[in-house]
Amino acid sequence: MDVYFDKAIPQMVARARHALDSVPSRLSSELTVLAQKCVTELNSVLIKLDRLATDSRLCEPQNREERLREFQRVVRDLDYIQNVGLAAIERVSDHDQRLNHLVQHIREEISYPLPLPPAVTTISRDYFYVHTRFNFNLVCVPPGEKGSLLHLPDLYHELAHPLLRERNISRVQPFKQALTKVRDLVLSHFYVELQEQERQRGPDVFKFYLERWMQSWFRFWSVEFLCDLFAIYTVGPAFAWAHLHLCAKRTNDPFEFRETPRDSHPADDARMQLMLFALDRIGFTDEANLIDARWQELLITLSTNKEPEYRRCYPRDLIAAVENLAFQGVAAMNCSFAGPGAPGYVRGMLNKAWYEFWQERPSYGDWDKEQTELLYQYCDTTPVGGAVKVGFQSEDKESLVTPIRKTDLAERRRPQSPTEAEVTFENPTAELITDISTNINHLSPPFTILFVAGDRGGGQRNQIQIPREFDSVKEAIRGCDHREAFNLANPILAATHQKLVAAYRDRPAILHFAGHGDDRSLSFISDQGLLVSHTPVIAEQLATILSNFPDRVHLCVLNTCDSATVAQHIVNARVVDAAIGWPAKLSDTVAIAFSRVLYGSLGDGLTLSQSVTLATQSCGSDEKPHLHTNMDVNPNAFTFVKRGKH
Amino acid sequence: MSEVGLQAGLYEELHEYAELIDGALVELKGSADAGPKHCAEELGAMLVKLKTDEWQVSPARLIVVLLSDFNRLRRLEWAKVGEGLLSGHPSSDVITRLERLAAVLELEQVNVMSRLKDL
Repeated sequence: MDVYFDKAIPQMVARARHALDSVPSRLSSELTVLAQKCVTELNSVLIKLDRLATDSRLCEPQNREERLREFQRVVRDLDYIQNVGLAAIERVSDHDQRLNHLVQHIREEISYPLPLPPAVTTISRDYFYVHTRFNFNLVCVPPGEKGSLLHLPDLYHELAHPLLRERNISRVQPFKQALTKVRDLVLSHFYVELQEQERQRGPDVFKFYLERWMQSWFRFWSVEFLCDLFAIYTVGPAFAWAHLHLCAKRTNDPFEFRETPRDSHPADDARMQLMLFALDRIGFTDEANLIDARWQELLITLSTNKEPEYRRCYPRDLIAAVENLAFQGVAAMNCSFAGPGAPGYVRGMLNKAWYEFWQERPSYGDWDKEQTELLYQYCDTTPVGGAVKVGFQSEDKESLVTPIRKTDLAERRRPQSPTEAEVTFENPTAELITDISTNINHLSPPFTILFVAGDRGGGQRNQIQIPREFDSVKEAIRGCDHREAFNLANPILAATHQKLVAAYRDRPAILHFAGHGDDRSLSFISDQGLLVSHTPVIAEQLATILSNFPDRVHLCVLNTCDSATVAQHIVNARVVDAAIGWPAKLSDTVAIAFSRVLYGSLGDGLTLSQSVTLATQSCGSDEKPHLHTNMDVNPNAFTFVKRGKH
Repeated sequence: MSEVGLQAGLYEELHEYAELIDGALVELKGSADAGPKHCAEELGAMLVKLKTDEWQVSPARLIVVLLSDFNRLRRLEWAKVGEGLLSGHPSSDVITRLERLAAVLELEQVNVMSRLKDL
């Protein structure tokens, strides 16, 4: 081997020197930075090669293995410098320059923490990515994406990667610390899960999955999640739309958790949920609802479902904690957030593009092509940080400063003295929502109704009332037009937390809670051997349970006293599409009458709103339930089945 | 969808560990008075933390994750390797384990780099 090293090392030295000589001198500012980094690293390679040739300890016979491994590392470094850094410099095109100008403006708008500009090249053969080794920070854009606004938000994600690789600049440390904390959290979480799995002596396959998830979270997913969140915080909803767009084009299973080709990317649905959390946090709740609705539409079209293990791989609490840590990290870097009203011409344009995409127009493509060119012109001709805008009318600029929000549109189009219902239907975005919700609730029947009662009926009265309520539901379904579309599961009587947690196995589309005791309280049985008591159901607890059901519960009927706030909570938490609760006391008679008409009407194909109204009227009582629905569900359009006989 | 970014980040981490371990091996295989043993000391200090309950926040946790050595006993074995390095007179078993680890890291680097080239 010594002879080999004597020959090979000088050859590699010559190659590195030749590479140094080939670095061009006339370059743009962004590529000059990249070229300088290439020169620095080539010099480092030369130093390492010199050490390989002359270091007396390394050249001792017993260290041949270490010497060979070091030699191979140096060769890989040289390959990387030449094949990535120098290749981008040699192939620079006019398109690259335009993208570099665009990224310069993005850096300025978001107050990007790194002082030196990343370089952009259009040499990507696949999708957007960034080379961070040696701090090259070379963003690669697929040539086909440079001419459209729809995927340019992905640049913001790529800009986040270099922040996590930077070693010394103090401004990025909070973001890096966020990554460390996320990794700490991940290891702690899955290590506890692993210990629990070993204690239970369950199947080895679960242990295998837990180890694999822990590795993937630690090595890749934590980084990817943080970069997604950086993009959301700095560009806003446009990034989540771009994610949806990419998934619609490329994804087969957004809930993949068993096998992925490279294991490096988290499941697309987990990424989307994280983005929606982040959008909610920075004030884009309306947009988050719209994106979520379109996402659900995509999931339905893909016909994929979450398996129970998926939730173990991507626990909702962990996802929420990751978002929280990332927010703190990005905020501490003093980046400019993309909240409603935040300035930023480029990000305003990218959000506007997605708004325009969903409008009814003959050709989005023409608009996109024209506006993309105008955006590039603006970035080419406007100094970074300058206030001059070329190529746009003033009203355009005004509208681009703030990403378009649904509520803004609603205000512009709102009649002088509208009722709430009028606003809903005269708002074009609301029509969009109606359209989405129509699609959402056209799920495949049969719809399973699960009746859950807090008590089997120990008291004299309850022995009769709970079965009566269940019978009213059963009779209503039996007598409705679309009885074949509904399936009444075996009821859960004397419900405990454990029984409710296991209820996901029935895949309920509708969950019906009946009350306990004389005051019909929403409660569960706590069975402690000899001592049996009942405990009230806490809204947060119910939301957590329902959020972890693999199949979404669409309607939750809380036919119990004082349940309106619980209904509101689970809708706000977006774990169900709609929920019905009662604001005050509820008598058994009213509860039974309400159930009978509600399910009969839904089974006849009436809308949710109509069904609740008719059911309320049928009770002949002053007691009135509250109906809560998600933003993306229009109760006046929501039906389980289409009206009319089959 | 920055596959390259993710793989490159991992490569960098693996590269750092590989350099440190090879540096330690060169120091240990030389004669006892061959000079300072900075790499061995740094690596030893990292590894001994794996015996604590806070191993998840130890810089050496990548090794645990990489080798799937989540079992406490396996972690304690790595911590013993660390103690051996800090003692200044590591046994041949310590050196053997480090050599195996260096080989695993080398293989992993090659895999990551080949994935980078495929992209």
